Amino acid sequence: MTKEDIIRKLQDKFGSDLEVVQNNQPEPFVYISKDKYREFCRHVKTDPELDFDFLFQLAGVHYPMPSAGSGSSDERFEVVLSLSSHAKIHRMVAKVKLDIIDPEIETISDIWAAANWYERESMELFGIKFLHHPDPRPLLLVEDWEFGYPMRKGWTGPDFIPMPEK
Amino acid sequence: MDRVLNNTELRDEEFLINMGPQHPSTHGVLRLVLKMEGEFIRDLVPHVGYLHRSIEKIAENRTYNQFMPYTDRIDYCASMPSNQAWAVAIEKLAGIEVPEKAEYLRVIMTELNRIASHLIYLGVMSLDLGAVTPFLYTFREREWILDLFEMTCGQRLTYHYIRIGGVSRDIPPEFGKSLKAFVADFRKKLDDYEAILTENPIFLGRTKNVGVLPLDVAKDCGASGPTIRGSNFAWDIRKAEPYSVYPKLNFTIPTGKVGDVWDRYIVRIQEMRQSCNLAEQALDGLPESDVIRAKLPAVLKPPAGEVFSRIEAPRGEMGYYVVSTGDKKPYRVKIRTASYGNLQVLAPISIGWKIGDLVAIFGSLDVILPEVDR
Repeated sequence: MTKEDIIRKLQDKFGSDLEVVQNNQPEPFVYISKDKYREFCRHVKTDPELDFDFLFQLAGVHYPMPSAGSGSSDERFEVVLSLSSHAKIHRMVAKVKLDIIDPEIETISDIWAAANWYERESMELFGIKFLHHPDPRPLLLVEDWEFGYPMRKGWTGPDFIPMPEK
Repeated sequence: MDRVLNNTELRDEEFLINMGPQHPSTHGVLRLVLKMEGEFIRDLVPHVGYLHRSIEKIAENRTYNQFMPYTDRIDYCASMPSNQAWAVAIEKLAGIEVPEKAEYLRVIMTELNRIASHLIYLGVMSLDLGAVTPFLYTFREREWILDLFEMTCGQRLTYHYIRIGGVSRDIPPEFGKSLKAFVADFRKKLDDYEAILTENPIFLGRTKNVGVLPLDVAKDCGASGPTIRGSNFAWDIRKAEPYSVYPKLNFTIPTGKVGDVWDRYIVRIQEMRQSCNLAEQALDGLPESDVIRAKLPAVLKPPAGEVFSRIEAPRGEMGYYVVSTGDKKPYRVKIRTASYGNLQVLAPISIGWKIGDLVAIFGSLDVILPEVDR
């Protein structure tokens, strides 16, 4: 399916819960509302025309300042899913906005098993809470890590030396 | 003897065993906690992160060009494709046109690096299974590839050769002759490897029908590359979403039949033959030109926006999600590596097998840990 077909099909299904990001990339970039997040994931995976069977990656992003990044202007966290379909050979980036304080969202590791580790990683590096995650242990950092969430913007820790500005 | 046989206090129970992080067959530093019942694995929990260097955080504090050498360290067995993944992502974000000659040089280098990477897999995998000879052979052939790289860019492991907008330098005049000689020689060497391993009854006994990876598990867990192709699924980014000059080159996608350890082995052997063809074709098609890098500003500032791109690295799909705010540094860089997905299938396919088979199964996934931990 082309970019326009995917967007039209998703808009028919999700209406105002879906917001399309305007850019010149070949694949669609969409925001889905937090309430419809799980329904959206299940739909794009099981719908035979969309058939997004492959979760390429899941990333957390921190936007602590207004107007950072593209497509929106609020302080927020984002969870970004890069999806692709083996059978249909199309791709999509789906994003969801989370509150800047206590970001939390339902897990999707029961929909794509690949999400399991990505969610664990976002949990420890960004402090995004994935509710009902089957195995919410830290993944990459040492077990006694006590210096907060290092991937957040403006994070400093005991050994952190910022790059000097020229 | 009687006392032992009639001892009613003897009992069996499940026990935990720790494998790694410093274990010869964990290819880097991976710790596996195994729940065993005698020789059989009942549960398996991988612990990663021993090589975590926070490369994604480093990326946010470097300019786009400064970050390129760090990509070498993501997968140090295949630095060329790691370079290329970053270059392709930023070229897509900034709309940079790469000179045709640079694309051909990229194909030559990444395909040679694919062979070098698969040779490490082959040597280490057979060493894990108790065959020492192939390890010596494969490292001998890999040496020639490293000499070719050294001839081109001066480096033998972390090349920093592929740059945003092209490559760092042209190949020297003697490169072509040496590459042709290597390919001719290597095709015979591949036959030698196959003579040692492919039909070897001991190797077959250790690999046939061991660690079968069902296709739906592979897709669900995010496996890619030779791991998913072993499960009889012809999926290759070079064909499915062609980049660089791959559409102009002639090659096939080898696949396995059932998805066992042996299928993943034979897929890589055949991929090395395909890579020989690709490198040779790319050398023959190399355009006569001096332009190997697009003209770019000294400090690259891609327009604000975001990008999702991926390429086919030796271990599978490698790609980036990059957010730019129009600044000289990226706002967010998410690195997706092939081993991250491939390692997630280890637990589902190892449970029920013996601990000796785990070594074979883990070897066949060809996971490299710095790529998982980043």
